[in-house]
Amino acid sequence: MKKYLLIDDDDIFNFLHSEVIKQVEKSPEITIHSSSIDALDFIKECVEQKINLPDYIFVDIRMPEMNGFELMDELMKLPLELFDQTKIYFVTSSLDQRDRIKAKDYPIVTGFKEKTITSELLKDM
Amino acid sequence: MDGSEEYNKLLKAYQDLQLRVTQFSFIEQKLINTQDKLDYELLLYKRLQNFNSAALKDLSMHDFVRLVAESVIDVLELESAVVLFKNETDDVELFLEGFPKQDISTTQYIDDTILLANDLEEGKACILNPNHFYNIPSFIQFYSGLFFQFTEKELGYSFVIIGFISIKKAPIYQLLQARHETIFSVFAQQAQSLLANKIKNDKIKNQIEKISSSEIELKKLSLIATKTNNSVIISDAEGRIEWVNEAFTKASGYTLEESKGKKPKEFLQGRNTDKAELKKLSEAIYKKENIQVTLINYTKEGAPYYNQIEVTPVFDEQGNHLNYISLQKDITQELINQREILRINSRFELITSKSNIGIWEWEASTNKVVWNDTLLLQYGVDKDNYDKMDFVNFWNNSVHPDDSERVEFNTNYLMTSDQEVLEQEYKIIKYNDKEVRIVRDVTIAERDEKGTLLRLIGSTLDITEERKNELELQHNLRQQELLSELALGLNNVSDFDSRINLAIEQVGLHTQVSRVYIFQDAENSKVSNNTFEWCNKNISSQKNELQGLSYESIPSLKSILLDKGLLYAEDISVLPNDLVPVLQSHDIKSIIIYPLYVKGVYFGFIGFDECLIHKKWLKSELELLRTISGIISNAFERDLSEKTLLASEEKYRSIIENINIGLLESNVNGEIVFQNKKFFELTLLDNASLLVIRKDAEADLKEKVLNGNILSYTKIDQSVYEIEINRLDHKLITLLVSCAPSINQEGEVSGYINAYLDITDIKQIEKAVLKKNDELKKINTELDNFVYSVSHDLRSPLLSIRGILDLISKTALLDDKTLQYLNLAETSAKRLDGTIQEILEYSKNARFDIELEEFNIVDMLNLIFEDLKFTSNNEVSLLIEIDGPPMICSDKSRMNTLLKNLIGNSVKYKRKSDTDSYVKFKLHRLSDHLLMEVEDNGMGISEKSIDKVFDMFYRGTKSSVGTGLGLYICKEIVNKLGGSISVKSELGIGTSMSISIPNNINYK
Repeated sequence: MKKYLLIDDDDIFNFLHSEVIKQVEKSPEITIHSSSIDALDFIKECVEQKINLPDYIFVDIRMPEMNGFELMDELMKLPLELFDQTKIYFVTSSLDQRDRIKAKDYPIVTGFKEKTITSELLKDM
Repeated sequence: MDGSEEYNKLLKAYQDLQLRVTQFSFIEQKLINTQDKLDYELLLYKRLQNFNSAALKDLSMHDFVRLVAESVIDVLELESAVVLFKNETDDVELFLEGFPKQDISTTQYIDDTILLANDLEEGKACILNPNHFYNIPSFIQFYSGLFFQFTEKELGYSFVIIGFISIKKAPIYQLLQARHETIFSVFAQQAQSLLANKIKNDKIKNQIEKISSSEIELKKLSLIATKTNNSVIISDAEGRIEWVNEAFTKASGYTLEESKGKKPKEFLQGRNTDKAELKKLSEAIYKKENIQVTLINYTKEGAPYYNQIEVTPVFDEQGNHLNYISLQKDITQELINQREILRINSRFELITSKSNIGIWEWEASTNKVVWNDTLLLQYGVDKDNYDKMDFVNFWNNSVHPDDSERVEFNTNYLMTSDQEVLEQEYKIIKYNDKEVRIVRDVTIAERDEKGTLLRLIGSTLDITEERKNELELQHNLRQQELLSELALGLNNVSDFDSRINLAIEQVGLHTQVSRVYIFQDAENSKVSNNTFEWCNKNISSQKNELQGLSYESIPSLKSILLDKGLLYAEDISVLPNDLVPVLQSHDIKSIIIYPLYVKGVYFGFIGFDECLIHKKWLKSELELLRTISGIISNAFERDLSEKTLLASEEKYRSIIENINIGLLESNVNGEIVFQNKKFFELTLLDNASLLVIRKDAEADLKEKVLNGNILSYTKIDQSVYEIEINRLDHKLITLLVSCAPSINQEGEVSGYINAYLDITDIKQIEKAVLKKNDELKKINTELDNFVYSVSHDLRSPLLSIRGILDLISKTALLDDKTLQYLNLAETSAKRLDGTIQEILEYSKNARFDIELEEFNIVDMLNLIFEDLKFTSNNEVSLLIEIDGPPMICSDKSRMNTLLKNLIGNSVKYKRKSDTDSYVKFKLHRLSDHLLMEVEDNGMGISEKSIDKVFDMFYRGTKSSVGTGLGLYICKEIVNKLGGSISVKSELGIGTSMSISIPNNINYK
């Protein structure tokens, strides 16, 4: 049973992606946050409670209050080995090349995916 | 040009010439020495001849010995001489000549002479040295000498000749050499021969005397006569031969039998026998007197021989005439001796002819003159005419009129005074070609002891070439002097005109031409003006007439000057037709013109007219004039340079005054040397030194900030600063100042030059521009962010719609119609997304700079194709043709967009029915361009559309799913990359897009 964390201010995408995941996985444990601040709290909570971090984290880049990059900056402050078993993907509708380049700055980030993630795409991941 | 260098060159040339003059005089001295030597030898041989003729006279032995001794001193010019004669009975005849009085007896002298002779060879002359004398008291004072001895065994006598030079007087005599030895040898052999004859004669004479005293003795005598080498004839009172001796038979070839009863004149005399001598002989015989004659007799074979005949009538005690005794001496040998002298003379002639010395001799008694071949040659006389010439007269006429009076006077004086040698130089006119030559003549007057002139002997040397060389040398020296004067005079160009006038006057006076002038071209080079002129005495000026001389009227002048470097005519009539009348109108007969050049450009000419004669110029003179024209050219060039310099100085002064830059020059201590007007206008500073910036500019500037002279400074570049000052009028100005050291001629820093430029306005503009730029940058970034934000915000809902559509389509419970509607919605959503992406790409291409990088184009093509296949699942094959490796260098992102669009079009507009659709990519590399082609066999583009495919928002067909931006973006990208794109297409066949972009081969 895989754990997923979806972070997007657009709830439609959170819904869409959870639906797609459900199509692929039998009974995934999906946590959804429409605010990255809440998501950060959640991750910190997990670390405090010594609960395993999700296997997959899908993060949108452009979000109000704290965008995807800012969230990664916060996560980078945590011990990095925590993310050894976690695959973090930026999932965005941005076509800005600069975003793709910047994404590479974070060693904990596994990839950069364009919205919307389809079931085919998810299988490859 | 450096004048002193020029002067030094000339000075060196002058010194070289002086050296050459010295060398010439050395050679001349050597020539004179040779001549003197030859003169001297001539003199010796003449004296030898004199000795010869004197010795042939009937002399006593004492006189003969004395003559020999005297001749040793005279002929060989020795200090002292000893001659010793000793006969078989030990009678000794000794003569000392030139000996100092010594306490030495004659016997001692004789003994010492014999002592010396004992150690030395017979019959061979030799040179004596001090070693020969050291133990011989009589000769101990001598240093050197010549020795000859001989012994005549048959006649029983010996003879010794010695000549001496003492230690004391050695320096004033010539050192004895082989030459002396030769002459001495000839002399001694002559003496020997003469002595032998003399002895023989004396003996016969003695015998004859004895015969005359007694008949018995006569018989005895005849016995002697038989033995003697001389012919003896005894005849009766009538002259018929009674007896001849063997010597007669030997000499004449006639035996006693053949001769007996005949008179000698009947068979001994012949064709060349001297008739006068014969007559003398006959008369004497008739008168019964003693007679001595020299006759040529003929042998039986007819060969002539010289006979000295002495006929003595013999009387008995009673005075009755008995018979004649004729003693005949064959003197052929003597004549051979004489011939030897002649041979020596001819050898001498040979020497003289080789040394080009002419020899002549004039006999006072006969007024006869003898010339040698060389002299004949010198006077241009044909040898064949030699016999017919009256040389006294001829010579008088040959002497050049300029010199004849002087030569005549000198020669007369030599002849009439007791002067011995006359040396003179004079010109002669040669007989054959009338050429004037210069000769040096040395004449020796020979006189007898009474002082009567016997003859004149002269030697003549042709010294014309020598004189010519000397003259040429002098001429060259004068030329060099002239050149150095000119060069010095023109070294300085102040007061230029009068210097040039002086120069052409100097040249004119030197060359003695009629006119020297300089023409300078007017600015258009079409006319030339006579600017300088010098005229000789009685020659009229032409300067005023020759202003604005047009080259067009005399075209050949300039072309000759440019082609040949000079125009030269001894006779101007040989010149081209356009020149002749012009020159004739100025009475010019000969002309030379040299072109003048300034900085290698023709600007006029210098000319030399001759109006009086047709002047033929020597090569050296032409060289001189060429050099002079060069010097004058140089002077003009220097003058022009100086004037240009003055003009440019003036120009710069004016520039500096009017320039928009404030200039400040200070010395090393910071004191103002110069400031221009603008500096004050800029700064309004009364005390300019407040703004002096020196070597350590930063330190100076810091101090000025502290003192409040300037507000601030910024370093812009090496020695360039920007300073801000608050001017007296309270205006804030910005100045750009540069600080350069000023370097003096010694290469030292003598001060500093500050240049101030007012950049207040520029500064303000710059500030405004910078501000604007910042604003623009901000706007640009905002715009960028805006585009992304908009595209993001537009896309997000679109993508979520597409996601939902996808979700719905994957729901199993859908009927066909619903599925069809969903597909339509999906297509529209996708198209909208495509449009958003293309707009973004267009915006990116327009605003982002090109970023070159190396990438694999094949990988890129495959990736693009995979994406397309994925989205359109059409069966199209991709063909790639690339020459060389797949790596190219370009803007990767743009290339990706470009190829994605082009290949996408090919895939999109494939012919629906076809199963063998393809898209072919070709890459061809040129040195500076990459040629790419994307070719397909798709639908093609109609002719009316093809021109518009690259237009914005143009869509070829209604069925197309594009936005109308694709090819427009492609064109924009290619333009941005600095390339070009073109399309070829045929409807229903296919389309080919050709792209050419720069090959960034030098990237990295």
